[in-house]
Amino acid sequence: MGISVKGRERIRRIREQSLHTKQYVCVQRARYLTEAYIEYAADPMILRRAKAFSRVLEKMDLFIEDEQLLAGTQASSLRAAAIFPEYCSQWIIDEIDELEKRPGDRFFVRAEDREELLTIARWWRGKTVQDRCMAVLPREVKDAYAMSVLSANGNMTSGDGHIMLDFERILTLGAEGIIAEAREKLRGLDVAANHGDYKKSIFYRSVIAAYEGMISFAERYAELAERLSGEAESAARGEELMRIARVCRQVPRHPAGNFYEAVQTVWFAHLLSQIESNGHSMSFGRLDQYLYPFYQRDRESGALTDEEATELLACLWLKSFGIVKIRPWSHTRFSGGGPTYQNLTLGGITPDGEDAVNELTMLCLDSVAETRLPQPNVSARYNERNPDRYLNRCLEIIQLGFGMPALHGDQMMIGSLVSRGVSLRDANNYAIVGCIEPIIPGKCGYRSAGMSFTNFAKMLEITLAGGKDPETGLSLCSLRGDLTAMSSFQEVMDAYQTVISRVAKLRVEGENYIDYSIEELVPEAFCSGLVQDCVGRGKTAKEGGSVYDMVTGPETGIVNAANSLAAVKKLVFEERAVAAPELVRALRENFSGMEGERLRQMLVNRAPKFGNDEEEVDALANTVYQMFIGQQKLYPTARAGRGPIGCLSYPCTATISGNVPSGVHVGATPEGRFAGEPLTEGCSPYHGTDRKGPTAVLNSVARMPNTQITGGNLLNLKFSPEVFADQAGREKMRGMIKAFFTMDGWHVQFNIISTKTLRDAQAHPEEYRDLVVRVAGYSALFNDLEPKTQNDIIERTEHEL
Amino acid sequence: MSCERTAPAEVGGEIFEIERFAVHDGGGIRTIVFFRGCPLRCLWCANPESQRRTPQIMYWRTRCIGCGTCAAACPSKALAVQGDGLHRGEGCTYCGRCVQVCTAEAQTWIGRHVKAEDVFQELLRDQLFYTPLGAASHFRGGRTPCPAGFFDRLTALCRQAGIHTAIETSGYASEAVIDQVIPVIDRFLFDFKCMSPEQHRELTGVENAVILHNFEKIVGAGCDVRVRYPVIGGYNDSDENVVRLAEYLAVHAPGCGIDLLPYHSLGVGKYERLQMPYSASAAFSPDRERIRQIQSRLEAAGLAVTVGG
Repeated sequence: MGISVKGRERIRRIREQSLHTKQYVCVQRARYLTEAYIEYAADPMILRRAKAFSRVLEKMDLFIEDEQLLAGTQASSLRAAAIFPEYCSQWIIDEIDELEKRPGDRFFVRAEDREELLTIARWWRGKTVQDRCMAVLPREVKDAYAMSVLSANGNMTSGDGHIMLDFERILTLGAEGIIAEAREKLRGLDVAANHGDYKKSIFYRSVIAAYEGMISFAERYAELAERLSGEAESAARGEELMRIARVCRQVPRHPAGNFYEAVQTVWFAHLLSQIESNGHSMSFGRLDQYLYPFYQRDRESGALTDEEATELLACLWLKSFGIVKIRPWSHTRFSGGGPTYQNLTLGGITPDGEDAVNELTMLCLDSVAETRLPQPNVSARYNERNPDRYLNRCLEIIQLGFGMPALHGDQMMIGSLVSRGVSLRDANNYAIVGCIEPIIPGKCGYRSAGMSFTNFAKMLEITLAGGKDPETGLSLCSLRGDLTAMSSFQEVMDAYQTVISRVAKLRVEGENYIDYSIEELVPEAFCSGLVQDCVGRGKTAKEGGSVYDMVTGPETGIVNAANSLAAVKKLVFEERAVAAPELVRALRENFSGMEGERLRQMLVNRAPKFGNDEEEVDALANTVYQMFIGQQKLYPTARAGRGPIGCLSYPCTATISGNVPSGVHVGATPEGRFAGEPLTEGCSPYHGTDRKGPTAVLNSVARMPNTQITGGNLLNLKFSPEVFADQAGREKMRGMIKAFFTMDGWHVQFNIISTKTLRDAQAHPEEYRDLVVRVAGYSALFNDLEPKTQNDIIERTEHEL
Repeated sequence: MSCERTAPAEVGGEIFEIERFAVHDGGGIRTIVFFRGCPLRCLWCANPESQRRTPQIMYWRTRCIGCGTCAAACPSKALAVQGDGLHRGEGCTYCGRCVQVCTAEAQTWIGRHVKAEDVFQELLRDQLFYTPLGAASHFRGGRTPCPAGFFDRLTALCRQAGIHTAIETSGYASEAVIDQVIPVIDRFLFDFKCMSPEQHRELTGVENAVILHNFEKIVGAGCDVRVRYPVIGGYNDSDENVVRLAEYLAVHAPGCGIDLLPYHSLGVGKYERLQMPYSASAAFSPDRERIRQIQSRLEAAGLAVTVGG
């Protein structure tokens, strides 16, 4: 389609090389950073850190991959992981010899690096963000973390992430332009007259240091490319390397002058934000919008073909796949494949409200179809003004089966953002960060999403146990007693509200302690240079430099809580089919024995479940969420009164893969879920409980308080590939998606059922109770079919893909 | 589900399933209402629960947790544990006690008596999804219509609400019934099992003269008709049958659309669950090449062919 045969071959080879690279730990960032931290110990933290960042950029070993058209990697070898000891270091000491023994996400440490890494990790003892948080957090908050009603581990061990830089700013000003701005601001300060200007002066000096580092990083690549050009195997590659050299001499120092330079600029900015700090979900934003003027100009002048543009974009995605994060095993085992959530947003409307789909949007789709990698995480905005060819192309790519793009409905989200105080132009311009969270490009601070995980299933478990966590024995709050002491369903709900209110407060309390620890220990000068209006205000985003400050957690297990409450309501209080003591015992014993299983089957089959278009349980899910939302409103963020608009937190169900770890410490639940099993993904029905097909699911989801879930409401739907296989099938899907967005749906992502999924369903039938096989005039649940028939279906599916 | 079993005295119909998001039957996204009481007995029938009108109980071995509660609760002692499953003996009175006590849903009622209004409410749930494509509800299987009052009411409600209706039918009904159905249905999916009258009787239990007559009548009335040809390997996939079908349609419904539905064995398990014998064990799914051959023969006769509905 959009790429040349030669280009496709290039992309295929780089892709293969990336996929088959042994992953190493790279010591260099940690080495040069620590070295500079020691050398500049006298500097204020932000300046010390900016200088350390520059040092890394000036010293790190560089390389350019064979055939790549873009320069810049985060570590000294392909897909190697850099170490960020300033966030947490103890795990390195604990796990260094285990890294290559991991069953997945394995990393290798070179023998010569091992001792150095340990020495560095020991130096950082007591100085990291995690150490600070542990030192300042109050007992009750730590207890809440221990009970797993809240989880904020990622914030403390990896920093914030979740940022979308103002790419237009670096494209039009260049690094020198940003330095010039900072210098001018610096000249205008008067620390004698305004002592507050002291902090600003340090801030501006730090921004200058960081961007000088950026320029020298690119210069080093230019020199490398020139040198490699002389040694190139072919004249053609030699010319490509000379082109890279010319581009890196020009940008990011100067404003980008053409499409190639613009793509390289975006990559440098995106990459450097990930070398500076360790969070994930650094996102590309609306690349089809901010690169469009460059594309258009080059196309008009004849300097660029669509094939070249597609190839360059594919090269960019391959670079993004090279961003690798290494994390403590305690996290890694729950997020296999090391996701980095670098989101790319396409389509939608312009700030003025016009159709934003352009030729570059289509080339972005074509290019991700070439790379088919987990990065970037592609989000397609859908607006009724967008042309059908756009949604059709999205559906064609979804059918390829790598889960992308996810679709997002403008209608609901723009209104929701405006209701939070975002201007209409900015709301029209929203883009997705991380998983599904909408933010305003270049105008939101760090971790606008992904704060503490709040676990609704765990809160319910504690409620039904009388305020105490059965697993840890810790007490969260005092209730009158456990379920057996409650005489009506209303009493259950009242007790649940007490628990929710308590947790909502502890959550923000913990977040404030963590926020201040991050603000103090890991201020980020580079990022601040590309977030509006940090340079204007002379402070980092964490100090209130950003235009907007709106944060979200994710809330997990709402559907589990609703299903469980529905079962308690119907079977314990209405039908009295099971007595409270009997249920409490069965939950404690994890439904053991035949009687336990019979009861569990009753809970599963005879109580309504969210996702089946049943008003009562759907309403319960809404109520449960509202019980939390009402409390969440009470607490502003740590930037309140410091500049930004908003300073509020709002709901979000973007649990990413967090639904799995979130379930580990939750005991058996009255919906019939065994202890330790995963919780639900976002607002999707709990796995295997939706039995009436996708339209019923969409109707249920539409009953959630969607307009209030400004942080995004995550829905995964499973489909067999044949639904998307032909034009008629895609038209039906298009109709369904449009209808869903009309009824205030927000996000939907399609998992195309592969033969692998089907085999897994054979092995784990309990998790796939909702898998439906459809042929003309017949449909059946996969689980209900005999193994032989299941095998037939697996063969057929293989055929269709 | 709002369609609870109602007392037989009420005007209602016998159905066995309502399937939402059906995308292979009649165009667009549809909800299918599966009727019971089909007068045909096609040997390969994938929905044997559509055949009788009286309630049946299905036993699902895959869901059974083996607790034995049903056998213990059965007042007629008609349930016996056999091998790794249960056997329903002659003594079963269909009192439903086993269904009632089975929390695992391994014993379920097949067939329920429902009111037209309740079914309609269920259809309305997906109305937003029908409209973008003008798609709709779809009635399938069973004796058409059964009973008249129920069917009339349901189709009338759909028409009032602007919901497109399609019916998949064997076409085996009296002329009076066909007259009654023609004005209330927007699209007919008309099954052609076999062209030879003798073979049709062997394969389905009835002759096809009345079916062909009704087809001609429906086409003659200018209705939107799609032919469906279940291609059952070893039964009705002979060249002769295909040629006769092509010739017939070329004369009686020139240019008509036709869906080839290759045989699948997905219904076989249902026979075991219902303790009914399966008579088409020799049936097979014609391979792609064969389907392509059939497709090109029918296309040569000017028909618009799709595979799979």
